Amino acid sequence: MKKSFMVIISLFLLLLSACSAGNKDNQAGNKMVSKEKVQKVTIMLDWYPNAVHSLLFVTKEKGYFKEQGLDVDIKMPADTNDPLKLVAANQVDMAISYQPEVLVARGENIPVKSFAALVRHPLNQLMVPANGPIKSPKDLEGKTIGYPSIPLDEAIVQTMVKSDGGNPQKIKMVDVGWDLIPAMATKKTNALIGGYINHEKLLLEKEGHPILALNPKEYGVPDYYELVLVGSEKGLKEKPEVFKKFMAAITKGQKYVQENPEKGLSILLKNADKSSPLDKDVETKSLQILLPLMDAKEKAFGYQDPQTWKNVAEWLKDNKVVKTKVNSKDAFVNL
Amino acid sequence: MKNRFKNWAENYGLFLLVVVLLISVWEWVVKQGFIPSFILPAPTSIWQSLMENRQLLLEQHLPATLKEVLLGFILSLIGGVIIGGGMHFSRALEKVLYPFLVISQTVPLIAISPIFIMWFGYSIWSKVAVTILTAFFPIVVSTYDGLKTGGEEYREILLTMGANRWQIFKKVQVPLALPAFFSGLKMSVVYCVVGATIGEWLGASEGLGYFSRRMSGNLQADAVFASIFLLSLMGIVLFLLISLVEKQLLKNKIH
Repeated sequence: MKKSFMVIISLFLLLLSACSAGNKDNQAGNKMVSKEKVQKVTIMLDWYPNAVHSLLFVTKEKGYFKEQGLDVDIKMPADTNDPLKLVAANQVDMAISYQPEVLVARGENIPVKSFAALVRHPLNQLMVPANGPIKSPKDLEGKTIGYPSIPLDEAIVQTMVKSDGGNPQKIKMVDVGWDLIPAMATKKTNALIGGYINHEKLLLEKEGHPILALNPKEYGVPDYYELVLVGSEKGLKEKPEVFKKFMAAITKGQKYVQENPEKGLSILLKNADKSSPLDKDVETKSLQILLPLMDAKEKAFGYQDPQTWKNVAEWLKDNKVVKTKVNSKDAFVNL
Repeated sequence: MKNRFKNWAENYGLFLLVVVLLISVWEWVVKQGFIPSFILPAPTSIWQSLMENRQLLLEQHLPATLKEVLLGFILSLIGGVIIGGGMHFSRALEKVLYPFLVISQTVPLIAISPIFIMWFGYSIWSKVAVTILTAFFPIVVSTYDGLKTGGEEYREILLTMGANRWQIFKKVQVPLALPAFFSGLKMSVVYCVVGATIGEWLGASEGLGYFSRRMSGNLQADAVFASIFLLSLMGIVLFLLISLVEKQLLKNKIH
């Protein structure tokens, strides 16, 4: 009895020392001279793997990370807010989050910074049944809108209704939890915010509910980056070279996906089908929607425009989503 | 008076000491920066957030959740006693229902939440339904098991004295079932709080669960914990109320 106890304790200690050793490796960064010079990097996705993550899986599979001396571990979160917090707590090195959320986080003194724009325009759009009575945001007066209880979504709807000449006081917002699709499919709400045009919209249409998506940027909401890559302030300061290498690798990965969308997608499907199988048709359409929205045109992939950050920060402040003044210049960095 | 205080100190003193100690350590650990405050906020900032939002929390969200909890609990109580008692009297009913009861507890709520939304919409009843689903099981089981507990000797005595089944039920089985029944109630009422919270996560526009999810979406950990604090407090108060009723009732039975 005592013996087995000792064994367990010693195993536990071994594990502890192994963990702390691992941490040290991470912190010491490339200063540590190891034979292979491979650096471990953990990235946490915003949600389960889908078409938008094709570039990451391609970069990994094609060995572009290895070329840069990186060993990247891709993790999935339990909740969409987790990645940001875990990055800030230095539990993961980088994460995929949302541009407005980064500003909200900074308003709460959570030390994170965006280092690249992954999707350059809003995917989160106001969805209403096509052929229904609602044609533009002002028609929402007196209607119920389902949302996943994120204050940002409320601000988006209010801005949209107001800029379209409607009265935002006259709309009813109801938290529909995780069930965005059932809320619409069972017609419990007249409209939906918080769903993506490359996911919820496609799935609803596949189930036989044609959807009209109203783009926030056409109704007074500043054009924002839907998905951004974030790191902690500490990480970005202490080992910027890791982030640069990471960007170099995924730029190559994204180029590959752009040139061979089908191959890129099949690599994603191969990597994703273990835990949450993806619908090939939906993901194919999703990638078609995403690729142009991820393209930075003449700028480098992931480039972030200071003006965009400024506009979004001001809009968040005006709509009281962020209560304290956030300096948009501190919220991002172009590597 | 002094004696009473001594009694009280003996009963709860240790608990309070540990609470004070825990809160101090918690505060210290967070203030020292060992745990980032956006993951676990310090007790003082939770309290501050509670004070800041007190009007909203106490006048709107707490009553909303309390209403769901009480409705769910009362309906569970009525349903649970009827089903538990029914299973006691009818073997057939027991054989049919018991497996279903167990199955009902193994279904992940998130998986069936769309069904609740379809049936009840975003009204209070979808939350009450989730509350009932989590809360009625302990009541049924404790009623049923309680009624089965022992009392064979009493039963035989009363039978020889010519008592009928109803009289035995009333005089022997019900009193003997009460302790187990109240254990079930105490568990159930605490589960009700959890059930109502989960119910609100599945879709709501008010309530402490809704508030906590919303604040979590806004990365305000202190406000999340403020609502958790109120939920715990609600659970404790309800638990104590049931204990109080139990004490009164069982005291009367003994005398």
